[in-house]
Amino acid sequence: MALGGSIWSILGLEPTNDEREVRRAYARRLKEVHPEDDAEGFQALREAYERALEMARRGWAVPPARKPRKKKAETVIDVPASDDRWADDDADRWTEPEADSGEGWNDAGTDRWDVAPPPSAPEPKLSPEIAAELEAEKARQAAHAALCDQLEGLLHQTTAPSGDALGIMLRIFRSPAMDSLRVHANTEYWLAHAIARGGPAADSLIESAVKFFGWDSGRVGVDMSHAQPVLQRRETALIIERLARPMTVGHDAWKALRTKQTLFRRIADRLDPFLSRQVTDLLARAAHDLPDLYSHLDPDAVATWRARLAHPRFSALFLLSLLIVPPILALIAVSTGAFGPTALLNILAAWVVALAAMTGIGAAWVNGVLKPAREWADRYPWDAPLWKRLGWAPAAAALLTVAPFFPNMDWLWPGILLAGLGLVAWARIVTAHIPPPPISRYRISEFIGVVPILFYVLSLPASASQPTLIAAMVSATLVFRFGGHAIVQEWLYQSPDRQRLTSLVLIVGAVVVGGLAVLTARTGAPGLAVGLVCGFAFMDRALATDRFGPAFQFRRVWLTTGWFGALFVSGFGEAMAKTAPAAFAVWLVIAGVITGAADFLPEPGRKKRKPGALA
Amino acid sequence: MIIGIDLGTTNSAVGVFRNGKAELIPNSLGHVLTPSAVSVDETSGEVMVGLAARERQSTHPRHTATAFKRYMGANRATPLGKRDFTAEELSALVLGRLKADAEAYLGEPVTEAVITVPAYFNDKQRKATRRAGELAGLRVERLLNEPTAAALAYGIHELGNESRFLVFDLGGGTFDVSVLEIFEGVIEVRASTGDNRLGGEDFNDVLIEEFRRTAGKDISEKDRADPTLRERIRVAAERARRALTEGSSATMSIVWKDQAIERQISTEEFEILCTGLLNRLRDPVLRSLRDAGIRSEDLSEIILVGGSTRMPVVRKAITRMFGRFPANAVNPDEAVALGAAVQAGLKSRDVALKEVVMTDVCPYSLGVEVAERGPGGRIIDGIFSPIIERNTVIPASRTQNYAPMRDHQRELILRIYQGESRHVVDNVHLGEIKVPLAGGRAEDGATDVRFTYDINGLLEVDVTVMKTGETRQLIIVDDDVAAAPDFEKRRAALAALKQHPRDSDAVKTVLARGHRCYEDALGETRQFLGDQITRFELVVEGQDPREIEHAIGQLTTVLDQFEGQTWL
Repeated sequence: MALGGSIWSILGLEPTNDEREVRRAYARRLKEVHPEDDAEGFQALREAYERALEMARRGWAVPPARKPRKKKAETVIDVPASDDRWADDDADRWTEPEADSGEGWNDAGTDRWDVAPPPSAPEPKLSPEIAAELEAEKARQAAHAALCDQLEGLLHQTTAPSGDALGIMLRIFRSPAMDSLRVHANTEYWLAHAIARGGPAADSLIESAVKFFGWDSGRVGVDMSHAQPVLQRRETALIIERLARPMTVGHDAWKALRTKQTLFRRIADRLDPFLSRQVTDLLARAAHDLPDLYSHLDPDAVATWRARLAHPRFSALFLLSLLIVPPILALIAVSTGAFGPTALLNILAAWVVALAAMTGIGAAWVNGVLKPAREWADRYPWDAPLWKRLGWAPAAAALLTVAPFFPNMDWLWPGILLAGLGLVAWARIVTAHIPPPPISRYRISEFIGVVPILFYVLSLPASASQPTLIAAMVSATLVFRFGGHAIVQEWLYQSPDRQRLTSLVLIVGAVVVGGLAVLTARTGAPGLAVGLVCGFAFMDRALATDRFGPAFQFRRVWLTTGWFGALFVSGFGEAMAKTAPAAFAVWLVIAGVITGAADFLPEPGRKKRKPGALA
Repeated sequence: MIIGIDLGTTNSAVGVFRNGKAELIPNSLGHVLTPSAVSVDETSGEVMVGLAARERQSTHPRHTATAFKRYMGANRATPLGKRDFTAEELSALVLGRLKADAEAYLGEPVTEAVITVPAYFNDKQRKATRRAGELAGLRVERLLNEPTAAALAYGIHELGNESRFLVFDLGGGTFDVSVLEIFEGVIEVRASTGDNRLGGEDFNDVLIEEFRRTAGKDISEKDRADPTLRERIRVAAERARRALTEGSSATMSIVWKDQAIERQISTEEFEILCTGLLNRLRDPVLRSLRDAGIRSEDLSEIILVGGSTRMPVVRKAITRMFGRFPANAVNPDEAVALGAAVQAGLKSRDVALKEVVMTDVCPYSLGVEVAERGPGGRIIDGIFSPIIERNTVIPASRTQNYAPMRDHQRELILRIYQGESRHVVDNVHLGEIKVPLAGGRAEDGATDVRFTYDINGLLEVDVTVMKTGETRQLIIVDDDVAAAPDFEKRRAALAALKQHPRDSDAVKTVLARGHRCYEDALGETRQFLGDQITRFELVVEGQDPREIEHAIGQLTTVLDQFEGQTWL
């Protein structure tokens, strides 16, 4: 393979941008390296020639002269007269740049429609029949040109077409002027251009034109770059047709991007939980594959959606839950009597508090997790200074360390909540160069295990430690589910071989946490026990996120059974309430071990395939 | 000396490069063109080649074969008399005759030749041509593309200028288009395409169809299948076609069962009938211009090669295509043979050709069949993956790496195809190689496949499994072609055929022509011709060479008067 420097040595030439020189050198060398005698040498020469020609054509062979720098008297460079091949380039660098000789795209004579015909012999005296033939040919070409102009006029209309564009195009195809190669080639290029960029009239022309010129014939090695825009437009037309049908995926996004963005529309769209995903997909497709799609979308709508998607805000689901959850929480809280008598005012107050708390959590999530993650998804996060990367983690860690020593301090439970969030934020920020999965990916069913525990906790006699319990549970959930998920994803991402290691961790962790939970339950700190158990359950889920197949399904069933079983058991009195977490911890250990061990066992349920057999 | 041979569908010629120029070698009749026809005498089993055989085509259609170039490389045998001949053997007989003519002219034995093939001949057809040469006792080290040969004949006089031109070669059975460029004494083929099934014979078919449709309505069904009748109609069509070249109307007339059936046809009618064929002329031209990246207005010359380009309808279509009149730069019938002679001179390193180099391209893409993974993980079979793209300058060598689709595959089957379509069913299958794999993962079976086109456009394939180092080589051989020992037998059998001696060529030819004219004539003319022939045969029996020569001249004059003109 000829490398950069040796191309020129094979040709026996100094690097030059002059194509004629390159050809001359090739012709010279070709007489020495005869293709009949030396096939290999000829192949090397031919390759060198083709590459040199390509480089010369693009002007890469000799680097362009740079603008002269201000020459100070003492920095005059003396270019030594050496036989260094690049000496000429050094000299060039310090000279005035040559005036643009105008070579290139606008070179007079290479403009497709302005070319002068090659100089021919002086016109001989034409016999009358030849003259008549020439006149007839001129007339044919004039007719052809008239038809083309007519079609162009139709294609320029941006509203519904007024004429029969297809009929005119077919007449163009059949016109006798098309016998001439020049006319045929020019018509083909012009038509490809016109159809690709034309107005609505062009849609009816696409199929016939593609068939006539064979633009989708699938022949290898043919340069059909002029036909690409037309084929793209055809594909766009098909896709639009599909999107317009109500039952297809993406139809909602299609409609949303084509309607005027009134206030009502905006609110309605905000509340649709699945719409933003569809819109993202559709916009991505339009950006990368089908730019023609943009002409069918309402620009206002596109701009609005783009702005919305670019800035993470409360998701639709969250907004909906803001409507539903605070009143429920308020009712529950007030009904426990911890906040005073069950009066409307109290309910309302609790409602406001709950709403504020939820909004606060949501805002913290968006600003502390989503926004930085999105920012840092573009940059390589390890570039950020450590203090930025850690975010709220130091404060959170401090609180978390201190908190267990003050189980009865009421003001600490917000701190613990905060701590949980902080750790989550830390996890996300640290692993930010993996794009965060959109919220809609977390299925509700994953959190269903929270419900029995919640009820269990709420059913305990109201005490000062109840809020602690709740807080511990929530933060453990968040920390281990999201934070653990993120950390594990990052770790696994770097090498898929680590799957087995995580399984091992799972087994060990299951044993350790289970043991801890059992111990704390026995010693009467049920809050910690519950928190640990809860947290670990969710971490276990996080660790197993990437494992598909029957083992995962099996474990989910197992866990859910465990939840409800523990709840059921705990209903049988105080002692049972204490042992329930312990029992569940044991349950969890078994689940964790099985799942972890599944990685070390052959996958069940899949037949071994014979080599070469079809899937 | 190396000779250059143009083995055409209708006519063949042989030339040599001497004294700084190319010249054509005349045959025993003094003509430079020898018809590609072989005929077998039904009584003596003697084989006749050339004009004599051509004349016998209408009188003895079952014992004569013409236009067998169309069947080169195919597994088809024509029965002539007692035995079957393949197209290769028929071509070998013609080549043998040309070899004898050359030896007689040059006065020395000739062992090596350059033979021309249509640029669009595929690998099988080229190998068949080479084998035909070898059967005739000629070493064929170089096959030359016909349009390139014509370009050589033209370009040898234009070496000083820089120009781009197009060679439009419409022969008896094939159509080739080549776009060439000359600079600094280098003749470079930029692109080459064509149509293997389009030629002068197809224009004949148009007339034959028209004749059958209108004037031949009276002929009964049974008679229609008669090969003699078919042959007569064909000859009449050919003559009419040539007449249309000169005049504005022609008559197709045949004699059948003592009935004269005629059909008048004018140039305009003919043009309308040929519309489909003329449209087929345009596609290869468009394709080769596009491949070469040259616009039609950049061409400085259009070179017409092949007898069929003399037809006014074809010339008109060409003029309309290019927007200019094609030049009469070369003799359409002789250009290819002259070019072959120039190439023979180049090969033998003739001093006069020191400053000339020519490079050619392969007109077909060459590759293997692969399977791909489509969207959604579906596996799509039968996709053509080109390794050498068409219009690559030859000799060329390219390598591609392929891997098995799945793990644990035991072998890799590489099927080799030549063509342009994305699906292999539409391409020509050349052969296949089976490479054993070691099993294991898919990546371990990665194999390098190297295709080499040599300067004759013949293919070599080298396959190497990267991991195990196992190699396989394929020299493409047809399944139906004989292996080496069989080859010798065939050669011997061919040489053993009785061929009538060269000296009696003229007699045989004029006799055959006489018989043909006799069958074409009616009534009084027929009787008159019969008398003349009988008288001639008497003179021949007398065996006096001078009298025979005189008698040949006389009979020829009579037949010329009857036919209008000698034509081939």
